[in-house]
This record gives sequence, structure tokens and C-alpha cells, in this order.
Amino acid sequence: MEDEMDEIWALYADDGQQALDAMETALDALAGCDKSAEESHISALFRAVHTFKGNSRVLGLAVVESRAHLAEDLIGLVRDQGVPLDEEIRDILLLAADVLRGMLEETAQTRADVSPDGSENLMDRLRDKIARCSGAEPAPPAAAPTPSVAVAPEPARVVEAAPVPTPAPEPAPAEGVFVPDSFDELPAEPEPDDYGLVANPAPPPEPAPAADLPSRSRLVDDPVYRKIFLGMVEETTEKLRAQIAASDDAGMAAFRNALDGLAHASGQIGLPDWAAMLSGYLADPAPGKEKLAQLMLDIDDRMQADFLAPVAVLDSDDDYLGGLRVPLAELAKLGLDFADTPDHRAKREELAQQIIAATQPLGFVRVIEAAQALTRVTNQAAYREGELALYEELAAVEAVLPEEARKEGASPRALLLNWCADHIFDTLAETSSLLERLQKESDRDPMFARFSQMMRRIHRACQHYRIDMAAQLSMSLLDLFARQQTVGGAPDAILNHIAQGFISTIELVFDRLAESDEVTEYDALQRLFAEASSVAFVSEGVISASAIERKLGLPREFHRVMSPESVRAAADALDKGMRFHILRADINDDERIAEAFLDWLGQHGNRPITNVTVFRGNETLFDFLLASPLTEGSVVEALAVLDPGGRKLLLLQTLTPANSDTVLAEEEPGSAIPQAAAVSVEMLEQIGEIATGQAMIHHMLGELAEADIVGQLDSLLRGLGIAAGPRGEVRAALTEYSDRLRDIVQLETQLLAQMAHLQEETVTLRTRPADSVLRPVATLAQTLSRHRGRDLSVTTLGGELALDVTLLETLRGVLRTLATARVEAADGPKSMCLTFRRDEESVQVTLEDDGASPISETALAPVLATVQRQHGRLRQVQVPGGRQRIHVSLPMTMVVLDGMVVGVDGVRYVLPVDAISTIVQSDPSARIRVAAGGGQQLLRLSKNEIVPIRSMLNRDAANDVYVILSSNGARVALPVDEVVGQQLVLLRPLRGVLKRLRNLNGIALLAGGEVGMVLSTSALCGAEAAA
Amino acid sequence: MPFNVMIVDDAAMMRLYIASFIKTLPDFKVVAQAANGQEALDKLATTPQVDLILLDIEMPVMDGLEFLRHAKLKTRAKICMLSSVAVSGSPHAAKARELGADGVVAKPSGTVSHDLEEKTGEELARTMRSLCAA
Repeated sequence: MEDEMDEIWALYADDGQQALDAMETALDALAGCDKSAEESHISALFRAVHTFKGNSRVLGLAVVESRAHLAEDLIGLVRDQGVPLDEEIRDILLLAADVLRGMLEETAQTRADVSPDGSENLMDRLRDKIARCSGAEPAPPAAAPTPSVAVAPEPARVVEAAPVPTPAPEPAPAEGVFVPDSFDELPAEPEPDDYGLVANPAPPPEPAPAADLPSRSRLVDDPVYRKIFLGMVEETTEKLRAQIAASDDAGMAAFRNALDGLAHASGQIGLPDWAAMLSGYLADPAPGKEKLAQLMLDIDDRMQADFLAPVAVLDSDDDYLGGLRVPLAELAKLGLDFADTPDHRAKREELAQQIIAATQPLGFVRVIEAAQALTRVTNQAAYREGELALYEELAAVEAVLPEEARKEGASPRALLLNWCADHIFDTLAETSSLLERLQKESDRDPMFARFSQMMRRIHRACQHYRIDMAAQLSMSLLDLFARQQTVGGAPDAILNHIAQGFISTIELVFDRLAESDEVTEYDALQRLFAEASSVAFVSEGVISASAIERKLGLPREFHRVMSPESVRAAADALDKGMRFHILRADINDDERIAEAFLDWLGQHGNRPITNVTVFRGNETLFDFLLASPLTEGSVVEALAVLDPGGRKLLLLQTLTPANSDTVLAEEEPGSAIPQAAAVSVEMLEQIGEIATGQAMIHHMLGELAEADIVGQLDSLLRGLGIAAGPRGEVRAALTEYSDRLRDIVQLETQLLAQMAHLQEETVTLRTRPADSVLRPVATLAQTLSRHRGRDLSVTTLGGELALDVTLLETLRGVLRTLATARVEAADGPKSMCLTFRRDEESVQVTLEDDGASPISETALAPVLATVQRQHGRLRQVQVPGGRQRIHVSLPMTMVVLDGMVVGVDGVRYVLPVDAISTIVQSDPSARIRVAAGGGQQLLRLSKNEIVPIRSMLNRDAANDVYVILSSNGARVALPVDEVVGQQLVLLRPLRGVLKRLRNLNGIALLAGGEVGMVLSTSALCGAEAAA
Repeated sequence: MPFNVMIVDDAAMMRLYIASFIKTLPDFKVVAQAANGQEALDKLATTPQVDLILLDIEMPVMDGLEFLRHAKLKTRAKICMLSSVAVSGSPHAAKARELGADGVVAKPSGTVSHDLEEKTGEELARTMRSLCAA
């Protein structure tokens, strides 16, 4: 073994050198290569780093692996998520190549992992870039100054140890990119698996195979764009044909338009040869017939080269499947009136020989075997099985045939899918029976084999109806059962239950399909499947991944990482009454503790369920979910023995499983709103402060860049009598310096936009629809009312409003109390209406009902206090008709406001841009004083348009600049001394003495570090309206 | 007679590692190795007596799933995916099963994982025997 280890280390060094060489070669090639070549270089780059990472992992080089892993993640974003490979990414990856090469040399010599010191800079840059690229594309730099900024703080990122490959959001096409007219018809991305059973299989962070994730680098590789483009080609060639046949040029303009569109589209979807060819023709304003005919030939050639050439490696006769159409149809007919007679056997033999003769030259051994098997059957059932096996093998052939060959021939796949859909109920019945037998009988191998066949048929039937989730689920179950077969013994009870639940669900779905002649709404079918899943799983008593999450109260980082095996393990541990602990391990740098800890995880009856990786600053930590018979105290003791220093291993939490009645309930009426744990208010505040700081730096840099330092110094030197020669040298050096400064400012501007984007994103992460409060409160009110023997009808409005979770949480408490008080009154209401509204400053909630009497002041007092603590208002009124109405208004907090900053008397104010009608600089004569109005001043905007002036000055505006604000139908003109510019600001609530100021909605930190007062436009306009 | 095995993996070190492990199994013998799917297809044409193919997924030139599509047509050999992404019940495992993989075994992973024998060896050997016996 020692010799082999020597060889392995030598190979590691050799492979590693090659991988890093390949990495650098690919990076060099990517500098300045054209788009068409980019894809292959990126793939090569990914593979190089992937191989290097894998080799390091196998040898237990955790530090080396972690660096390579992050580099791979970054490349993965480029390869699979459409992140553009910019200069920064190239630089980082070149740095990664350098660092990894150094590590390779060291590890190959020492045969041990390297110290993490010395590569922190690389890790920081990789993480930072990944964090920035993982979100949506950064917004383009804004024209107007915006607050903003640069380096996003490193939040504690949590990623699954085995991330779920969720469909990536389709990158929005950049401006100018060809977007098909029929974009709306593009197939929707599949919804995330949400029905629980094996909802979140958790593969390690490997990339999906190329077959599943087509490259996004060329839109033409996307079948939808390809189809649209081919449609455009067809349309253009039709016009071209018409033009060639036409006796005049009447249709020439339409043809040229089509050709122009096609040329543009060619460039956009990654067909530069097409674009060049078509542009050449467009350059000729009056092409003759001969030239048009040549264009037709050129288009044909390009079609042949780019779309019609075979793409598969299979050497196949294009007419193979077409040649099988007749024998397959005959075989199907024979199946209808099967008879084990000499004539029938002869006919079968003849047809099978036709198939074999066509297949033999191609060497498809399994097709030949399937055809031969058909000649040996003696009854109709066996014939059916044989026919199906033949379709299976031919469908596999079809899958690798060039599109053109497939198009011309019969489609065995379609036959197969139809067959499976037609026989689904027989298949389900047999599968269900097999599941029972697998539990009871001992000779299981044939049953496992048959179970696999049945699951394949279910898979095909689901594919026929495009029930993708169910199709994938069937294969996952097949996989789990096949592995169980390898282990030996009966499938464990929970896996069996899950499979039974799946069968029940599929039966429900296909029952519904049987009632309808045609399924046209596949989305509805997906929903039906999801609903049916819940019903079936509940009735089967099976616990799904999400139910486990709820039952254990798992922290957010463990959500959606439970693989089916984890679910089974957790469910089993729950059944056995084990305890659940979450342990944090910081073991990367201590192999001794790592090994001891990993050993301990498998001892003492412990059962590791799953784990996630947590990035904290430069540290990579692991959180383990452990089921154990040990108590909390025993776990702490055990960890203390493993890690006497108490710094590497930590018991984070011991979970208390909820009782089973509440586990499956999707939503407890009136239950708390899930908080966006990842983005706390404090974090949002910090981001706001960083944004402000960055904006200040940007402001200062901007001033520096704008200063004419070259001119100033030149004058100075000239004044000092310095000769032109030395002055020129100084000027050149300063000019270079100024240019670099301007470059930095430009970069800063991009960072500003990114920071603004981050601010908006973080605020969005904290928002929930108002429905998350309205629906539970409505359910609560109805439930309480029913308990009192009354039916209550509840209507809700404004449920779609997106509001901050903290605000919603306050409102939830308030509304629960109010609704409960209303319903529990002796003369409680029969109907109730809950309404949410919001403007730029506050959210207003109204509860109105037909109850006879209002809530007493005593009962209302605690709610009023809660609302007032949040600087809100509460009012109860009796409306005509004896109805009761309660108004609650809370100021909006944690809002990123698109504001216009203005200066008035040296103070900065922020006005919501949405509330600004216009900004005018008027003539002093436009100002009108109305003596009858107590000196009220008006501003004439036009002949028929006059608005009241609402001044915060004790004097007239210095330069007659007015911002015209409008709110709730009222308008005012606000005189200002200067308009500073537009900025995104984080609105903060007023505190302390500031709360007493009128017409203010909050404060905000501005670029330059100043504090701005956010004006309440509704208060300003409202005061005028009242006046 | 031992069963003939082909190993398809782009990492030479991993091929060596797996081959070393198979040497410990008297009923199996490595007769061919390939660094990608295309090379494996070529070798299959000249090595028809292969009984079992151990196949990685992520590979250059032609990946494991694409190889699976083509190889299933032309060989009777059992094909077992051996990949770190093919964990139990995962989409990759499901895809491999859909394309006709006869067995799926997850390669060892984790920071201390030069222990294919202890971690995955038993499962791999059991799967190999189960497939070849079928």
C-alpha cells in the first residue's frame, strides 16, 4: 500500500499541475476571445478546478479543497447562472491559480494539508465576488447621484452541505438583447418541489451534468430561442421567395425589414456568421434577382451547417426509425388479437426479423434481444411485456438520434409513453401489491426487479402528462429501493410508507385525469398533484421533509436540505423517542478533534441526520443535526471530553419536537409571521450606514476628481516662474493621476449602484404580504365566532401589500386582540371586513363590522398603548347604520425611499420622488398673496393652475425654486433654496425630541454624511387641504 | 472467472484508487480504463467482454450521463454510476436511473475521504456483485 500511496501522491502532483496549467490556459484564452469560443473555455476552466478540488478532497487536504471549492463555485456561477466573466473574476481566478499552485507544491512535498494562513485574501475575494454575483445582476450605474456603495459587509452566509439544485432564475436579457415576441409563451421553470415527500434531495455541491443544464452563453442553444429563430428564418425566406418571384419591388421594404430583424437576431443569439452574411446583403440597397437567389442558397447552406447537421455521435441511418414504423404498427396489431398459433408465431417471427435486420448494422444489441424475445412468448400478457420492452429500447435509441432522423421516423417514445399512461391503473395496482409483498415475502430480488419496472412505467405515464415532479419522484423512489435491494432485506417501513403515499397520490391524479377527456392545463395538474400529495401523505401518516422541519422546529439553515434518507432517519429517530441536538463544529484546522468528533457521531447510539456548512467571516464551520439518546447534559460532557478547550465543538441547541397534532398543520391561525432571520433590523441598519459611508467617500472622491488640479498647479508653477519643460512633466504626471482618479470614481459609481441594489434586496427579504396577517386573523375570528355559535363572514382587502415583517408582527398582535374582542362581545358581529392600505409614510388598517357596541376603553387601552409605542394612531368610531370601525395607522419603517434631497435654510430635506409632480423655477410675479386668506400665498403655475405655497421659511424663497408635491389629491408648492439631487435613502423612525417635529416622517443619512429630514407629504398636503 | 470491469473517471488518481480497491476483490478484474465518455465508448468497441462499467458523471468531452445514453444501446454490460453527486434519492441519481443505470453508488466525500474502502467499499462491492449476479 505504501507504494500505491507514493504513486497516488505522485499522481496528485502531476494531475494537479496539469489541472492548474489547464486553468491558466483557459483563463488566458478567455481574455479577449469571442463569445462563441467562451463556452468551451469556461467548461475547461470548470473541469480543471473541479478535478483539482476532487483530488485534494480525496487526499484529505481540507484547506486546499476549500479554496478550490470556492473558485469552482465562482466559475459555476459563470457557467450555469449567466454571470458575465468580467475582468475582476479573471483576476480573482488567476490569483486562485497562483495560490493553489503554491499549495500544490507544498502539499506534494509534505503530504499534509497547508495552513489556512496566507490565503485569506483569496478567500475574501472569492466570497465577496460570489456573494455579489449570487444575487441578480447589479443594476447599471444610475445617472443621478445615489447613495450607495462598495463593499458589502460579509453577512454570516449559510449554505447547505449539499445544496439543493434549485432552478436558477432566468437572467434578464440585457438591453438590446434579442427578446422574442412570444416571450410570454416560454415554458415556465418548474416550481420547486414542495409537496414534501422527498422534497429536498441534497446532492453535494457538484454541478449538474451538461445534459441537464444547457449553457446560457449562446441563446441559440436554448431550444425555445432556437425555435423562435427558425421561425424568423422561415418567415424571411418566404418573403425572399416572394421577392424573387415578384415582378416589381413592392414587397422589397417588407423583405428588407424581415432580413434586418433576422440579422439583428442572429447576432444576439450567438450566430455571428449569420449576422455577417445577412448584413452583407443588407448593405446592397438594390440587389438584383440573382443576388437574392444567392442569398437563398446561402441561407440554405447556413441552415444545413448550423441546424440540420447531425449532432449525436451515433452513426445511424437517418431512416432507421422510419423503417420500423410499419413492423411496429403490425406488432401492435398482433397484440390486440394474440394467439399462440403457428400463423401468429410466423407473423411475429417475420416482423421481429425485419426489426433485427434493420438494427443489426447499427449494433443495438438490446433492441435485437427485445425483438427476439417477442418471438418466444406464449401468451398475451407476456407479449405485452415484450412489446413494451421493445419500445423501451427503441425509445433509448430515439433519445440519441439526430433530430432530423427522429422527425422522419416513428416515435417509439411516444408509443411507450402512451402505453404507460393507458395502463397506469394496472401498474399502480401491481406496484401497491409489490410493496406489500416486499414486506412479507422473502425472495425479494424478483420483486425488487419488478418494482423497478413498475416505477419506470409510472415515470413514463407521468412524463406523458408532463407531471415532472412526480416523474422525478418515481425515479428517486426507484433509486432508494434499488439501494435497499443491495443492502438486502425488506425496504424499511418508512420508505415503504412513502412509496405507498406516492402511489395513492398518483392514483388521485390519474383518477382526476380519467374524468376529463383532455388535460390542457398542466399548471393546474401540478397544483393538483401537490394538493393530492398532502392529502395522501396525511392519510398515510407519512412525515414529509417539511413536516420534519416543523416538528423539530429546525432553524432556517436546515430548511430544504433534508434528503429522503435524512427524512427517514429523522422520522425513525422520532419514533424511537430520540433527542435532537444541533452541534457546531469548527474542525477544519484540527484533524485530531475532527476525527474524534466524527467517530463520536457514530457511537453511543448517535445518529447524524444531516449537516450544513456555515461561513462566518473567514471561518468555515459545520452545523450537525444529531439524533441521540443522550441528554443535553451528556452531550455537553461528551463534547468537553473531545474538545477540552471548548472552542471547537459547541452544542448550539437541543430541539423539542412539537406534538404530532400540530406538525402537519400548514398554518396555525394567527401564528407568528416567519421572520426573515437572515436580515435583521440591525443588519439593515448596518447596511444603511455602510451605504451612507460609501456615499460620503464617493462624494469626496467626486469632488477631488472634478477639481482642476492640473490647471491650478500649472498656474501656480507658472507664477513661480517654472519653465515650460518641467511644467509639462508635472502636468503629464498629474493628468495621469487625475485620469486614474476618474477611473476610481467610475468604479465607485458602479459600487454605489450595487449597494443601492443590496439595500433594496435586503428590504425585500424582510417583506411579507399583508395576507400573512389577514388570513390567520380572519380564520381566528371565524373559529372563535363558531365556538360562540355564530357564523362570521370575513372579507379582507389589501392582502397583496408587501410590508416589513416587524411592522406586520405588530399589526398581527393588534388585529388579533381587536378581532378577538369584537367576536367575543355578547352582541358580536356577523360580518367583518379587514382592510390594509399604505402610502409612502404609513400603513393603515381598518377593521369594520356590524357588531352592536364598540370595544370598551378599558379593553382598548393595551392595544392603544402598543400602537402608540410604535408612534402610530388608533381610533374607534361608530359609523352610520350602527357599524363599528377601528382605524389603526402605523408609520412605515425600514423603507428604502427613492428621495429627492433639497436644501432649505441650510437644512437638508428628503421628499419622496413619487410625491413630486414637478419642480419649477418661477417668476416672482407668479407668487400671489391672498389677503383674505390670512396672508396665504399661492403660486401660479399656468393660466388656470394655482397651488398653495407651503413654506418652511420665514422669508420668500431666495431663487423662486418650488417643488410641487401632491398627496391624496391635494397639491402644495414647497419653496426650496436648492435641489441637491436624487438618492436612495433608508428611512428611519424619529426618536426622542425629533418625534415632536411636525410634518416629518423620519430621518435619513445622506451622501456626505449629513442627516436629512424626510418630509411627510401627506401632512403637508393634508394641512393645506384642511385649510 | 472474474467479472471484467471498466473504470471511467476523468481523474487519473481516482481511477488508480478505484482500481486499487478492485484488486482487493478476487471476483473482479479491471480490463479497461477511460478518462471520459467518448474514450470509454471507443474502448467498449474494442473491449466487448466488459461485464461492468463503473462510471463517473462529471467528465470532459462526454459526461457520464451522455455516455450512459449511448453505451446502453451497444453493450450488455451493467453500468454503475460512481459519483459524488449521486447521493441516495438525489436528482442526479434519479436521472441516472431514468437513463438506465443499473446501479448508483456515491463516491466518498468529505474532508477526510481517502478511505474509499472503509466508507464506500462495502456498498460498492455489494452493488457490483449484485449487478453481475443479476
